Amino acid sequence: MEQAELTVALFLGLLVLVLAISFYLGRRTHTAAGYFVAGGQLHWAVNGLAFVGDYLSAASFLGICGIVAQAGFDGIVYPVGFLAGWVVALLLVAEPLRRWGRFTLTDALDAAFDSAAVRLSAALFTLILCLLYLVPQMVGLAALVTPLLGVPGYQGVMLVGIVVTIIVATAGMRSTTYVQVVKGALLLLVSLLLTLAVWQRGFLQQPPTPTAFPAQKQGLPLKQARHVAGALHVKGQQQAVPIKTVLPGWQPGALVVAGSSETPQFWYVEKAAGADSWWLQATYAALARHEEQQGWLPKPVLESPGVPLTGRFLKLPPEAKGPLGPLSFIQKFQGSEIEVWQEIVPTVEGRRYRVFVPRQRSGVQMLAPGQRFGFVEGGWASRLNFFSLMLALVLGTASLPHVLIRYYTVPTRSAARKSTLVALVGMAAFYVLAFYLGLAAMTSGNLNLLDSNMAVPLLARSFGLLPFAILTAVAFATVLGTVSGLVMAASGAVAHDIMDRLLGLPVGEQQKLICGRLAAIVIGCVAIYLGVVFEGVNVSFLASWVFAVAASAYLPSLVGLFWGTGVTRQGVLASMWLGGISAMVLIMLSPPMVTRWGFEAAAAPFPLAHPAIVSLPLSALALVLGSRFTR
Amino acid sequence: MPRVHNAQARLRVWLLCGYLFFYGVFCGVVAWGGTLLQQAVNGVPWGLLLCGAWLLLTLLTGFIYHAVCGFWERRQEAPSEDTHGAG
Repeated sequence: MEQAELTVALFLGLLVLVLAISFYLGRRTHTAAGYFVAGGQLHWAVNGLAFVGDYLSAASFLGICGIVAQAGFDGIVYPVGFLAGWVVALLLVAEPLRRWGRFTLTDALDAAFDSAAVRLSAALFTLILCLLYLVPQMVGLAALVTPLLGVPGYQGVMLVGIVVTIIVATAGMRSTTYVQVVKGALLLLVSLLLTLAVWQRGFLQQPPTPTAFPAQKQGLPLKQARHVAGALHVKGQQQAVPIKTVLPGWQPGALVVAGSSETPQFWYVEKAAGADSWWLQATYAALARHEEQQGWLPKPVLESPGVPLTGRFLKLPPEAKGPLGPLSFIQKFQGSEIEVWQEIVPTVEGRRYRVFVPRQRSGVQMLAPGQRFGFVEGGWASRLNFFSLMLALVLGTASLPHVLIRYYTVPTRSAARKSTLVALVGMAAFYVLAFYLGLAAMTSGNLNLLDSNMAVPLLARSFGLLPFAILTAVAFATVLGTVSGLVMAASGAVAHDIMDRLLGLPVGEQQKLICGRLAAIVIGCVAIYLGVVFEGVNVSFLASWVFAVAASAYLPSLVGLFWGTGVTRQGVLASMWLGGISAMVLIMLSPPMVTRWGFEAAAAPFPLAHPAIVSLPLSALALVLGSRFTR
Repeated sequence: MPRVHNAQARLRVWLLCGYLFFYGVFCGVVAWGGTLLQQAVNGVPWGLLLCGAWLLLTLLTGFIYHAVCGFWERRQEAPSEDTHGAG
């Protein structure tokens, strides 16, 4: 059986299982409470595992492993922040939320005021957040679908989008819960098995899939290159290549651009150790994605021809072959030298390129901070950026609507705490496994330079077709479970918060169910489009933005209402709007977004990639001042 | 405001403040302690040990909170079966 056929077969099997659960449970859902919060009667263990399934999204499964594979230690700080967020949710929000709310987060925020403005604002931000969080899920899905099924990413996104809509529309929270339980359990099991396989195999000097990129250095003293009439003479090439430009000028770290305008070649200037000459290092270059975009659908990243699969050791300590244990795996990795790829994004003749330069890093360097965040060269700005990210991660979980509504689905306070603990243990176990998988992916010869999201599925491929197919099917289920939870939360915001409580439409139980289902369909369609537009961006990075917006929009108001005194309706409104909007605006003005629109990163009006360090204090200040002046 | 037992509220504040303090310390060490975190103890770098310790601290905080709250709830014979929609 071919790779795609096996994967499709496994995926379809999983879909049948999920849909069977959905239809079976759907027959037992006849009330709004049953649809939105499963009647509030779920067992704590079931809810805890559903938390795991809901929270371990594509951002965790695909994104974390991808970042660890790219940047080593720096990838672990994301799980640290994700986990810490659960403690904040447990201590600050979980129990009071259950007392104040009924179906949605808006219920809790509005309980003290019974205000149409608060209801509308809270419901709108719930919708915005669910949509934003759907983007990384859909991006992860597109990354999976393109190479596996041989279809464009948007087709796969549509397929799963339709399935999710069916799941949510048929049975609501109860089926969503059991889908997430199945997915959470499968995810933990498959990650454990793959990690055991990685330890058993150990490290390989030559990965099973040889790297497609010739990483040899071209020795070329700088003077020689400069004085040959503006042409670059490269060893092994017959004809001299005309140099177009040198960015920013002849110095170590510069890029020499040569060749034709259509297919420029990039050479990286680096100083040779202990010598007076400089080297020109061959690179891999591709057009930046937005340059390739045609019409409203971008060209799928993985369809770019000749994308090299990379990731290998340059030096490996003896006896690094398996079986290895958890500690010896780290020790061997630490004693190795690894080829990693540094990305530079130059603009040549108005077109933006992604240039990847192979660099040598020791295992010690990869297991220390700074590869992604660049603390040494970036100085205070990179540290501020890091703190801003960590602030968003630790405070964002306690503000995510699709996570918080799970606290309504258990009958007691004690059950809410227990289900949080189950979630904490499950996620901690997963993140440890994800770290090992990321390190293994870094050196398995299967790392895609243009899309780090595929690190783990491609690692599984190095073990054979069946592990690859199983892991991919589970990754599909991962996206499926989280997307269904998000669509569930968003449909609750529309049907319960807006139609019923805000507009006061005379809707009965049946009409409310229909509204929720229609809302699920509309939200699913919007999410599909957004997922296609953002294809190729690391999904953990995208998710961190959602955490920043969620924390800025909701957390000060929730904490003020639950634990403070004198909080007014105007204060809550000011906090939600100022926090939420400022976070979104700062994201739009940040370097990653500015470069996505085709400008230089240095031209970004807001210098940080993560906005929480500004937007969260603004939100808190708005709550305090707004409440003080309107009391 | 919901009724909260004073001792439980104090525990909550202390746990939260302590946890967030250590979170800040963790972030500070990661941002400034690159050289320190490259050093290894028995072949395992400090950075990973720090993450492992952090993970244990997180689990411990959750379990302590749940255990103490459960103990108080049982001792007071206060019903933990609160109802939805009380607000």
